[in-house]
Amino acid sequence: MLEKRVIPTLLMDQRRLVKTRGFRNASYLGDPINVAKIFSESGANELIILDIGVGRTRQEPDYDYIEVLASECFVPLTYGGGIRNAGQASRITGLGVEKVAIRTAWLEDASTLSAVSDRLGAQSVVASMDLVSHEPGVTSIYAPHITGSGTLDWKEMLTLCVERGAGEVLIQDVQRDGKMCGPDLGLVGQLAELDLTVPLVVGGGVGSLSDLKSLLAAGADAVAVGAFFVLHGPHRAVLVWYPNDEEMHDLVGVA
Amino acid sequence: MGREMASAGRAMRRVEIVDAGLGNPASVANMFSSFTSDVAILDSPSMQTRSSIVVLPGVGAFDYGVRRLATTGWFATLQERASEGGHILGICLGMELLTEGSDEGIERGLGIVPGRFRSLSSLPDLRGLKIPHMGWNHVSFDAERASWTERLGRDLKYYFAHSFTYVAGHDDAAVAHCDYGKPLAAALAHGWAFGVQFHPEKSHRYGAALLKEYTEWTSA
Repeated sequence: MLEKRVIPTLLMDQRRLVKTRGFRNASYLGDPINVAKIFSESGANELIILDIGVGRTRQEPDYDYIEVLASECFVPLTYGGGIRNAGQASRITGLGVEKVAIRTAWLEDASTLSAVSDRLGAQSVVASMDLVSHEPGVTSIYAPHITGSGTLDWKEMLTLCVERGAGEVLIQDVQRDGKMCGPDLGLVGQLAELDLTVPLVVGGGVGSLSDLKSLLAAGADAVAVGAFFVLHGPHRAVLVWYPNDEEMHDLVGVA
Repeated sequence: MGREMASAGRAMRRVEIVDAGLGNPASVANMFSSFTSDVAILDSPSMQTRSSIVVLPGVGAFDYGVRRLATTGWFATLQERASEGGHILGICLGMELLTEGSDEGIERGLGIVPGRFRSLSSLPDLRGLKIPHMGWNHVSFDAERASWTERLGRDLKYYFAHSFTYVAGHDDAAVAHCDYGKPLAAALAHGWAFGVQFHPEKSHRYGAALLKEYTEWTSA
């Protein structure tokens, strides 16, 4: 049977690997290519790399760099950052990237997903959405750079993105980002209840293998892991690692 | 992983990878390069050689794939190659394009491998399962239909990312299966054409081993 997935999720800005806390205060971690290579050699299920700088500056994706990153990955790679149309998406998959993650572009115009999906197939398209909870029990989409995003209903938008051609959904919990404080299992439960027909990838807050297990048990098909695989100890020293075969078997193994 | 794998003695058949604007020839080339140095990416069908393995990778929608093959001249070339007994390896969309067609589109496939593709969402056994079939799944090969796969050993898994699956016509070309609601064809073989539904170029050491054994088998 199909195994669930544990996916190291890396953020980069101007070709530097960074880690944020609550989507802010990016601190430098190291070289994205070196780290991608480590995860690939460690046999990570998959890798997600998000360029958080290009989206902000509305430039084109850094194609040359993406090509080098992809060449170091012998496991599937998802790239996100600055993708707004099928031409860019197609160019990126042509560089050796399996899936493209789209966030701002589809929240502004869901037809972006159909355009990319028609060209690449749904299996190559990930709709990304960040969630935040300003009051207990009230979840909303976090997209401060999009006017009017406060009025969007997150559940409706998720249903919409699947209808429009997303083959996978990536949800990040903004408030737990980088804190390794444990994930919001209640939120994941709500996401699972939506019963989306496509795989659900969740991230934000993982601080232990037990957190990973709980997320997968709560209904996530895959977990995106950031800080937990790159930072270690109270001083958050850089330490890149991935669970070994035995640990992975315990997390995702099929009897 | 990668560069340390040395080829064992016997000369390997040349590997030529089709670049028809359909995804990732470089990733495929990269994986082959870990065990053989005679690897080339071809943008034109006129560059293919008779005795090589021609690899057709693919990421994309079916009709887009067929049209790209037609526009670049690869469509006719691949059909000709198949009728002359040349080795062809199709990967993911590349494998789908080898067959007669897909519910994903209206275009006809190469027709090199009998059978066609149906959407996973149309199969009742998959109700409740996520579509696309996405992630690492375990594969068993039918060594009677593809004897070289015996050399791969057991406990094999590869990365799948697809929404359509092979359905046989009169001749069932499937030589490997994975389980997802029901057995799904994971690899096809017909004549000298071989195809894999999963992505060996992104299946780490499992994928590398498969490509190496396949190449060595064709080189025997």
